[in-house]
Amino acid sequence: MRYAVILFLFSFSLLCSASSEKVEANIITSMLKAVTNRTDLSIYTDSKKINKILLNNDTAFVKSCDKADIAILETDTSVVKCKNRPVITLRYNLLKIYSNSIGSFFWQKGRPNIVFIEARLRDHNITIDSSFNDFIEDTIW
Amino acid sequence: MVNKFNIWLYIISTVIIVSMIVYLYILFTQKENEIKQSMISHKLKSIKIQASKLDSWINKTCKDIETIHECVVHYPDKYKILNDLLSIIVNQDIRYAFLVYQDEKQRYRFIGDGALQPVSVMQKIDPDNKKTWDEVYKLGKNHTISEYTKSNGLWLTHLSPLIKNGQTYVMLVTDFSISLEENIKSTILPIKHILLYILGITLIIFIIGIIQTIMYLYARKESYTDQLTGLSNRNYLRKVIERGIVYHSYIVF
Repeated sequence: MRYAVILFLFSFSLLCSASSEKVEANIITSMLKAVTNRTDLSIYTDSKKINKILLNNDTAFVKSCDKADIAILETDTSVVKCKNRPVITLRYNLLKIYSNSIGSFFWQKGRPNIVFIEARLRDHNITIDSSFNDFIEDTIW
Repeated sequence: MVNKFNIWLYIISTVIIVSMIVYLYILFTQKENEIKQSMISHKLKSIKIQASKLDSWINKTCKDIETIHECVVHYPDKYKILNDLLSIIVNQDIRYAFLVYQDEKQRYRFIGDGALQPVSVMQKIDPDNKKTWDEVYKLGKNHTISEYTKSNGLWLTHLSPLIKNGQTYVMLVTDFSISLEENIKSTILPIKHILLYILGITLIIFIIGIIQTIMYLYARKESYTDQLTGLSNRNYLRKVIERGIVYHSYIVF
């Protein structure tokens, strides 16, 4: 609980000094680290924005979902194509629809929101870092 | 001819003009804040009325149901009406209006949303300032959060807890758009700009005046000095004669 609050306060202290893109980059980097527990990741994304904001974070982008450790996606078609990899969506609706998506990062009412689905993390044998426990949901509403 | 009196008059009048402009600038900045406060308080009054209406509607509609979230989860029509009531609050200045309740894990969940495309009922929302939200929810006292930057498009967030049996059962969250603040600023800004322009022009005139005085004094010294010997010339002698020699100032006894 305390870690999660610290994480969010950290994120919002950044919000005071940096642009929303930097906040997004920080949150997504933390999410990726929490999910994989690795820093040398291969990422597949269909989002130009994510490509741009993570470019300075020593992230290795791959052009195919099959070669990626994890995918960050914002469109239906990409999520459908990326069935065999854990997916973090950038829209909550995609998390609702597609079972291969393990979590989502999205802006809701002007606030950054994170959701991980417990059952889906289990399906992918992913143990998430305890600092993200507050963002794990057992039900998708 | 420049004399000491004229120079002092010139400096004092410039200082007075500059002081007046600075005073007016500060006055307009204060007025801007007063306008902001008065507009916020006007908006908060209308939010308070809406919160009270929502409170009585929920208590009337969900009185036989144990918890508010059960009421809206199991009865979609009630959720829809609640959203319609919340949508009345949303306008150009109030960007979002939604109801949240705190679950047993201390997470905030949507009970109602005034947006055109409402969020799913019970969906989680991560507050931007959880500590304050928790405190307001616990104490049941209204609070306005203003620690935002413009990056998220929000200016203020007003939290209005709705109380039942001495405890908060749901909280109305209203987010003020930065457009309200920008509208107030844009009204005052032209006046402030005019004052700054006048200040700038006054300072330029002051500097020109100073330069001109220095140039005049230099030119006068040049005209009274012989270029070859560096001593005072006939022009200076003529000036002294014109002014008249004050003989008594040379008399010792």
